[in-house]
Amino acid sequence: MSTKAGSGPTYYITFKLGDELFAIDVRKVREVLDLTLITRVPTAPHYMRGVVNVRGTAIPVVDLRLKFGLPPVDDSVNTRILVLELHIDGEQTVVGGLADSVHDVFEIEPQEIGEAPRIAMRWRSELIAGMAKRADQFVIILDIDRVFALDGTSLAQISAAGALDAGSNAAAAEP
Amino acid sequence: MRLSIKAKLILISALLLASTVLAAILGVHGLSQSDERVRQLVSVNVVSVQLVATIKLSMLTISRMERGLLLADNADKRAFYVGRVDETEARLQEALHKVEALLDAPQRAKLAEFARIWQEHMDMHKRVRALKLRASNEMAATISLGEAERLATSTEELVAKLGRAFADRANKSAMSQRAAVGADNAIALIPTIHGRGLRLIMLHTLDEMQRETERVDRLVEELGRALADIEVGATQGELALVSQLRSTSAHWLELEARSRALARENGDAEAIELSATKSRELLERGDKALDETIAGVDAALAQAVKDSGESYRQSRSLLIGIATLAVIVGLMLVAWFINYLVNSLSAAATLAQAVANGDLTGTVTVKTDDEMGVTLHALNRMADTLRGVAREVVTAATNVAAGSEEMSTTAQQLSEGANRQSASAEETTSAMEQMTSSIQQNADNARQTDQIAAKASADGKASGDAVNQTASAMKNIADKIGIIEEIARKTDLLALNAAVEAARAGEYGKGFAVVASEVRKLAERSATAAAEISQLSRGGVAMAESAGTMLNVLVPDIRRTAQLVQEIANASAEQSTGVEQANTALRDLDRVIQQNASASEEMAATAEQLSAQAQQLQATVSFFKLESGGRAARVPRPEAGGKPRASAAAERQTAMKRGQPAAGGGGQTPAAASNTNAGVVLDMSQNKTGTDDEDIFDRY
Repeated sequence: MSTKAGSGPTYYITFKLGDELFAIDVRKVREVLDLTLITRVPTAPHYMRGVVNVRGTAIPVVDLRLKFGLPPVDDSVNTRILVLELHIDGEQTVVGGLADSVHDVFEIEPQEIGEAPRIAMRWRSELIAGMAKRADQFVIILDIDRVFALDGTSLAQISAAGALDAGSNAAAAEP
Repeated sequence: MRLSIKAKLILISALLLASTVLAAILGVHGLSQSDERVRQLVSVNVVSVQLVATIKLSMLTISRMERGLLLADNADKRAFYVGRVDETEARLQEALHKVEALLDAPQRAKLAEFARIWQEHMDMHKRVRALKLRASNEMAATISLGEAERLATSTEELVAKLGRAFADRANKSAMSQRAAVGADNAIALIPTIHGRGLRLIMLHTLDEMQRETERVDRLVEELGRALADIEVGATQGELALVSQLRSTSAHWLELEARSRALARENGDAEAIELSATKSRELLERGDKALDETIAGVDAALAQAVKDSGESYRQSRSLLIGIATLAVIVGLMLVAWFINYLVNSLSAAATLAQAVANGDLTGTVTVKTDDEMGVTLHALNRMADTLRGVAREVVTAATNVAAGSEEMSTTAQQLSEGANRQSASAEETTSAMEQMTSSIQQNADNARQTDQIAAKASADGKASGDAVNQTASAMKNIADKIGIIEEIARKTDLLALNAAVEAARAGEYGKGFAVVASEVRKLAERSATAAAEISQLSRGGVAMAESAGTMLNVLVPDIRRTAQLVQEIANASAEQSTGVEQANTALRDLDRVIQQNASASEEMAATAEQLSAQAQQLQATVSFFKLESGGRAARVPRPEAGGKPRASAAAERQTAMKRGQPAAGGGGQTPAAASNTNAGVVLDMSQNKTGTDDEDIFDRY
C-alpha cells in the first residue's frame, strides 16, 4: 500500500454501508453487479449470504454490513454486488461483497490521503489504508485484502483499549 | 206507665183468652176424669167380668170333655178329648192370669181361692184321665175274644174227639165211662168259662165283679177235674192227644186268667165314680168362688158410676161461674176502649181539618203516650213543620225574585261579552289567513331549494368522478416514471462498470473513463429528474384522492340538505292544513259565540219570567196562616227596593183580610214596585204578574 501511495494517482471506487462512505482500490474490483438471486449455502458463516452465478462461475457473496458488524437492512434497488479480486495468503480469490450502494470511480492523489485518526474510530486501524476527503465528506479507504484476511473476527473496535492497541500496532507497522 | 193501644188490646184479649182457657182446662180436666172412670169400667170391670165368663165357660167345657173321655171306647176318641181338655185348660189359665192382673187385692184373694180349688179339680181330673187311659177292659176283651177264643175252640175240639173215643169205649170199662162223662162236662164248661170271662169285662161295679170272679174260679176248678178224668180214661194210643189237650187247655186257661185279671182292674168304673163325685163337688166350689169374685167387681163398678156423677156436677158449676165473670169484665173493658179511641180520633180530625184549611196555628193537647198519643204528637209536629216550611218558602220566593233580577243583568252582560268575543274571533281569522299565505310562500321556497340541492348533488358526483380519473392518470404517470428510473439505474450501473474497466485499463482507459463518467452523470441526472417527477405525481395523486374523498363526503351532505328542505316543504304543507283547520275552528267558535249571545238574551228573558213566577209563588204561599194574627207575610227584600215592596205586601194583607178579590191596583202594586227595581227588562212581566195574582186571588 505504502508503495502505491508513493506512486501516481490511483483510482478508487466508492460505496456506502449505512451512512459511511468507503473506498476500495479499483484494481481490486472486477465488476459491479445488480442484485440477483443469491443461493444460500448451509453451514456457512452468518455474514455469508450465499453464492451467485456470474457467467457460469459460482462466487461466494459476503454481506459487508455483517462483516463490519453493522445491523442488517433489507435489500433495496440500490443494493449492489462488488465482485472483488483478493489476495489472501498469497492466493487469488474472487469474492462478492454486498454493499448498500456503489457510487463512482474517482482519482485520488497520494498526497490527498491522510492518516486515519487513532481515536474515536469505529474500525480497527489496521484495516484502514487512510482517509480522504471528497466533496465535503470523508471517505474511508479500506485495505480490502486485510479485511477478508481477518476472517471470523469482528472488525469493529470492541473497546477503547483494543482500539489503542490496534492503533499502536498500525503506527508501529507504518514506518 | 206507658201503655200502647197494642198493649191495651193485647191485655183485654189476654184477659178474655185466659178466662176461656181456664174454663177449657177445667172442662177438659173433668172430661178426662170421666174418661178415666169409663176406661176403668171398660178395661177393668167389664173385661174382668168377660174373663170370668170365659173361665166359667172353660170349666163347663172341661167337665163336658171329661164325660166324653169317660165314654170314649177307642184310642182316637180318647186322644181327641184329652187334647180338648188341655187346650181349654190353657185358655182358662190365660184368662185367670189376665183377671188376676186387673183385680184389686180383696177380689184377688177370692180369685186365688178359686185357683186353688180349680187346681185340686184338675189334679182329680188327671187321676180320672190316668185311670181311663189305662184301658184294661179293652185289653181284656182283646185277649178274651182273640187268642183265648181260638184256644177255647181247639180245646173244645180235642175234648170232643176224646169224648167220642171214650163214648165208644164206655160200655167196656168204668174208667172209660167216667172219662166220657168228664169230656161231656168239659165241653159244657169251656164255653161257659169263656162267656163268663167276657161278661166280667162288661161289669162296672166292684161287687158284681167280685161275685163273677168267684163263680168263674169254681167253673175252672170243675174243668180241671173234668180234664183229669179225661186223662185217666185215656188209652195208650190216645196219650199224644191227651198231652196236646193238656198243653192247649193250660195255655187257654192262663189267657183266660189274664183276661179276668185285667177286667178286674177296671179303671173305667173308678174313673167314672171319681168324676161323678169329687170332681163335681170341686167344680161347684170353684164356680161359687168365681161368683163371689164377680160380685166384688160389680160392687166396684157401681162405686165408679157414682163418683163420676159427683165430679160432673162440680165441674159444671165452676165453668158457669168463670164464663159469667169473663163476659162482665170483657164488656167493661171494650166499652172503655171504644170511648178512648173515639175521643182521640176526633181531636186528630179537628187538627187535620184546620191544617187543610191553611190554618197552621192550631195544636192538640196530648194526654196519653200510646200510639194515639204519638199520632197526635206527629200531627202537632206536622203543623209545626208546615209552618216552618211555609215561612222558608216565603223567604225563598223573595230571594228567587231578587236572584232572577240579578240573573237578568248578568245575562245582558254575558250577551255583550259574547259580541266582543265574536269581533275578536273575526280578527283572529284574518290574521290566520295572512299566516296561511306566508306559509305557502315558505313551502314554495323550500321546493326551489330542494331542486337546487339535487342539482348540486349531481354536479358534486360528476366532480368526484373527474377527480378519480385524474388520480388514476397520475398513478399511470408514476408507473411510467418507474420505468424511466429503472433505465437510469441500469445506465448508471453500466457507466460504473465502464468506469471500473477504464480505471483498470490505466492510462489507456483514461479517455473512456471520462466518457463513462459523463454517461454516469447523465444517468444520475435523469434518475434525479425521474424521482422528482415521481414524487410530484405521487403528491398529485394524494391531493386528487383527498379531493375525491371530500367530494364523496360533500354529495351525501347535499342530499341530506335536499331531504331536510323537502321535510321543511312537507312541514309547511302540514302547517297550511293546520291553519286551515284552525280557521274552520275559529269560524265554528264565532258561530258558537253568536249562539251564546242569543242564548244569553234568552236567558235574560227567562230570568224575567222567573221573577214573575217567584212573585206568584209568594202569593200562593200567603194561603197559609202562620201567626194567630193573620196570613203569611211577604218577607221584605234584602235590597234597596225593599221598602216599597214591604208596604205593598202590607197593603195586600189588609186586602186579603177583608176577603176582597185583590184585582186592579191592589194586586198590581207589588209587581209595579218590583218593576222599578228590575228596570227595562221586567216590563213584559208586569201584566203577567198582575194576572197571576188575580188568578190566585180568585181562588180565594
